[in-house]
Parts: sequence; structure tokens; C-alpha cells
Amino acid sequence: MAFLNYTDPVPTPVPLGAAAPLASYTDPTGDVWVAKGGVNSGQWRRARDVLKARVFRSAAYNLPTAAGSVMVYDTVNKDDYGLYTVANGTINFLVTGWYRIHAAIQCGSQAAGSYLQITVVVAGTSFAQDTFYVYGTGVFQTVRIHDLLYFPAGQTGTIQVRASTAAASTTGNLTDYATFEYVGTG
Amino acid sequence: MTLLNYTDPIPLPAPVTSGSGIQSYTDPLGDVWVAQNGIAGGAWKRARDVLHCRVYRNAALNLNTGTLMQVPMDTVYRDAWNMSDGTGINFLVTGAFLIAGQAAFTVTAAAQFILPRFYVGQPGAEQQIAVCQNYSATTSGTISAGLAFNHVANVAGSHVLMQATGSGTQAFAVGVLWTYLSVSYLGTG
Repeated sequence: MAFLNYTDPVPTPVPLGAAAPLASYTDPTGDVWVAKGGVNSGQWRRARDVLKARVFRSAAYNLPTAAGSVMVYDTVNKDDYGLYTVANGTINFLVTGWYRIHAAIQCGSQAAGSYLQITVVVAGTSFAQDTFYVYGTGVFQTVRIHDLLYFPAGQTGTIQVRASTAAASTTGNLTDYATFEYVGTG
Repeated sequence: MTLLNYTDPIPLPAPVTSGSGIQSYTDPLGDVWVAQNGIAGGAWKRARDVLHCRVYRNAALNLNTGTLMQVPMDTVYRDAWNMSDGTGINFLVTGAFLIAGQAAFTVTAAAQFILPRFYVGQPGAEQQIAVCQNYSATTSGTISAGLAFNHVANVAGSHVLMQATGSGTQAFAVGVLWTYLSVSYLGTG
């Protein structure tokens, strides 16, 4: 029997090589660990501790009117393990479990009665949706979603947005952002 | 003295294989663990890892003009630890929690609103802790109002529930998409 020591209290697999894809490991206490080549030198980290990402929209963006339009947050604040793909707006659920999702977009003044909408969509199912109708010109519109959802490893999703009339998004770290966080096995 | 080993690095109580209700244990590092007969074989799990729950309203329900009414969350999205009580979500242990939810209704005229309020406490003694609101500027469509916030539950047996009021008797928009409530245990606080 191997005895524990203070420098290696929870024995995890060996670090991964530089090109290795993300891998997960559940330790004897039930904690899920992840490792990925090129991230933290391939060392294993608790998933709850590191699977967190924040992205935002930086480039100019016209909110579409068509349903099913994917919002692409094109800039990463932090996303070491690839929870989000900025190239196409895909959310990547890397291990099985619960995920906390927050997302927001804003656009400038529109005509009264027009709307702005944001939705989390995973595997064809819409989960959380917020819609804001303008009740006067000169009003900035913001829609936000906050949800807790459970998905299997490998599942993907998107944040979808639409407006009743084409409108320029405000863009920027302050108003157009999304966060994704793994919170546990459930 | 109990020697630690790789298969049992944190000595925990024996699995819970009888009785009902959740049991908790704080290990020497301060982590809270929970176990319940019939869940995961009664094995002890870290509370931060497993105490998560999402429920939603599925049955039809109508607002009650200007009067706050309960919005019972009658359907479980996922609730492996039996946190749902059919109305809201039990915290099961004391500590810090992240709560999120929203309610929505079907608009029938301009200038209608929905105002969800979140209440926490022991059943029958809940106090409001958060509120949000949204208005309609159109004569149709669906309007939602929701938010996320932290709460420290320091009274055992507490839960969170949602009440709502509006400007008329419009129908709630129900289902997994529209009217829901979720809770995550964050730590001891």
C-alpha cells in the first residue's frame, strides 16, 4: 500500500503531452480532474476549479432578425480549456455535469415595440430565453440569461440572438459577454 | 491512528444505507460532504460537487392581477439529491448558494408586466430576498424577467421559492425554457 504525503495527497495520472486533447479523471474521493496538453504543462487540475470561461463580443455586429442565429462572442477574457469556440460560437461541454451559464447582449435605441432576444440552445432544445421589448426610443436594450444546466461530455450548444429589426449590437466587454462554468457532477 | 491510503484519502463515515433524509459531514479540511440512503449507494459526496438542482413550471398557471402568488415548480429538470419540494428548492444544508430563475408570461396588451420575487426561509416563514420586473411594449409575444444572486442560508430546513405578480390574469409561459428555478451550493459561507 502506498502512503500519502503532503506533496501528492491525491495521486493523479501523469501530466499529458503537449498535443494531447483534454482528458478527465475521477479520483477516489469523487472529484473530477482534467488535463490538456499545453495547458498548465499538461498537469491535472480539479474540473470545478479550472473549467471556467468568459468571452465577449468585440467586433461590430448587427443583430439578425432570423430565428436560430448564433451569437459569436469573438474575444476571450479567459478560456484555458476550450469551453467556447470563438470562431463559430460553439459552447463545448467538456465533461459530464452541471454548467452555470450567463450571457448578455445589448443594442442601442430602437423604435418602441421592437424587441431583442437571447436564448441558450443545446441539441435543438431551447433552455433559457430572455426577451426585451422597447417601450420608448432612446433606450438601450439589454437581455440576459442565467441558467444551470446538465449535459454529457461532448455535448455542444450555442447562444442564439435575434432582434425584430436589424440593429447594431453595442459590443464590448461591458455589455456583450458570456460565461461558462462547470460546477459539479450532480 | 488511521493511516491514509490512496483509495481512501479522506476518511469518511460509512455509507448511509438506512433511514431517510440527508446527512452531512465536515472533514478535517473543512469540506462539507453529504450522503443519503438510496442516492449513489449512500456514498459520501462533496456538497459543492453534487448539491445542484433545476426545476421548472410545466402546468398551466395564470397571473393574479396585482396580487403576489406562488409559482410552484412542478417539474424536475434534474435533481439527483431530492432538493425539489414541489414548490421550490430545499437547500438541504446551511451555507452559501447561487440562486437563479425567471418567470415569463404571454402578452395580450401593451404595458403589461411581470414581477417575480424570490423568497427564502423555512416553509411558512419565508422572506423576500430578490425581485425583478419586465414590461411589454407590444400587444403580443412573451415577456420574461429573471436574475441570479447569491444567498447565505443560515437556518436549517430553509428553501427558496418564487412568487410573482402582474398587471392582469395573463397566462404564464411555462416549460423548461420560460419559468424555472435553480440552486447551486457554493460553500460554507
